[in-house]
Amino acid sequence: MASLFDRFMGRKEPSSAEIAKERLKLVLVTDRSNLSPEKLGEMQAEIIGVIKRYLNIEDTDVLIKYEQRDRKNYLVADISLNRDHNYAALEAPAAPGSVADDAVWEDAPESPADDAADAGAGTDADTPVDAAAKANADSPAEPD
Amino acid sequence: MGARVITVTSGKGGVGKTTATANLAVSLASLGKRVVCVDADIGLRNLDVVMGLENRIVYDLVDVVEGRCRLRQAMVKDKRVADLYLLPAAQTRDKTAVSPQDMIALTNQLRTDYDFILIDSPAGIEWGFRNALAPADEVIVITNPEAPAVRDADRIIGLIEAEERRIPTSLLINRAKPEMIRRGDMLSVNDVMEILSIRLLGVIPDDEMVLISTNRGMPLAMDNHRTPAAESFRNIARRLTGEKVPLELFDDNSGIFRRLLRRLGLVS
Repeated sequence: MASLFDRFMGRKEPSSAEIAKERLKLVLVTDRSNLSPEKLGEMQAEIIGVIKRYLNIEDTDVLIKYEQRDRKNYLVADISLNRDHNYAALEAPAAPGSVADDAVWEDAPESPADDAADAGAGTDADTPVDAAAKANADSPAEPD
Repeated sequence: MGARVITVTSGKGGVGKTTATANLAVSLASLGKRVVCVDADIGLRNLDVVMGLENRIVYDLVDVVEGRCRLRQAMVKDKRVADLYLLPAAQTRDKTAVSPQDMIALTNQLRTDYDFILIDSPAGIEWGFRNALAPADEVIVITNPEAPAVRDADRIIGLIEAEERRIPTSLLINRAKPEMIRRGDMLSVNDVMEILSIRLLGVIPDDEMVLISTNRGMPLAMDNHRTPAAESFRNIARRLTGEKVPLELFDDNSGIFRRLLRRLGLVS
């Protein structure tokens, strides 16, 4: 997950309001998903492990992002494919249960508890969102 | 048609629920509506002080629930504005003296005689909040443009969304400071909306007159004050009655944010 430093890297000195906004978005990831940052990191590592069984990529080619559209929260896997590699898996027919490059998961609710039900939480994507994700979005254009 | 029961809540304490409840009640009554506001903060009575009715209390909510008096006997009529009543909280009891079922029964008794029943919820997410939420047809979530308040508002909104019945929820951003927003030292209306993503009811600017009016026991909206907060409360009351009143967003002069929010369906 991008740290606060990463988010502001290369930009001019952020205002205190911008810092507050980014901190809020980050803390709400934990609040809304009810997963600690450690658990989120574990989940991310496992997801990358599964993807690597099907695609010949590096750990750094996968970015797990949390997005929010309206009040729905999405976990998005951004998988960059290097054209020079030969991805044998892509030529074989897709096995049942395998995921497409542009997969978007909508997490099931963690538990029927009083807490907010949705797992995974959102921040606005700094990098372009997958086309499939855009096609699945309920709402019209995202605010900048 | 019966009353609209609107619960005013926030999660975080001290963001302006009681002040907003009082001023919205007065504004709605000034528009000719029949209004009763209910202080649901059992044990920490406050709505009476903000409204300046603290000397007129004989019975309270718990007396009604426990059968020591009739509902009408506990309701304090505000003599300054027509058709405005207060049902005060108990000061000396703990919050479990009242249950969600009690609140539903109580508001059902009031529905036929009033246009608006405003319930001032206590802070928090436990028993008092559950009591205040039980009879609600709608909820107004109050927040301030600062991180802890927005975080707690998010939690409250999540709890409301988790309810089995659908409860329309809108946001009131209180204590906005336009100059700090312009300087980048306060979350803007747009920032808060991006995070919370519910319908925006209105924005109240920080205004010294709010404290002064609490000191006097005369809600701002009562005196035809033209200060910014009073105007905003009046506008919100008008929006609640269905009138289309343009939103004051304070952080943009070109209207871009307003158009954007309208396009997203987040603004009335």
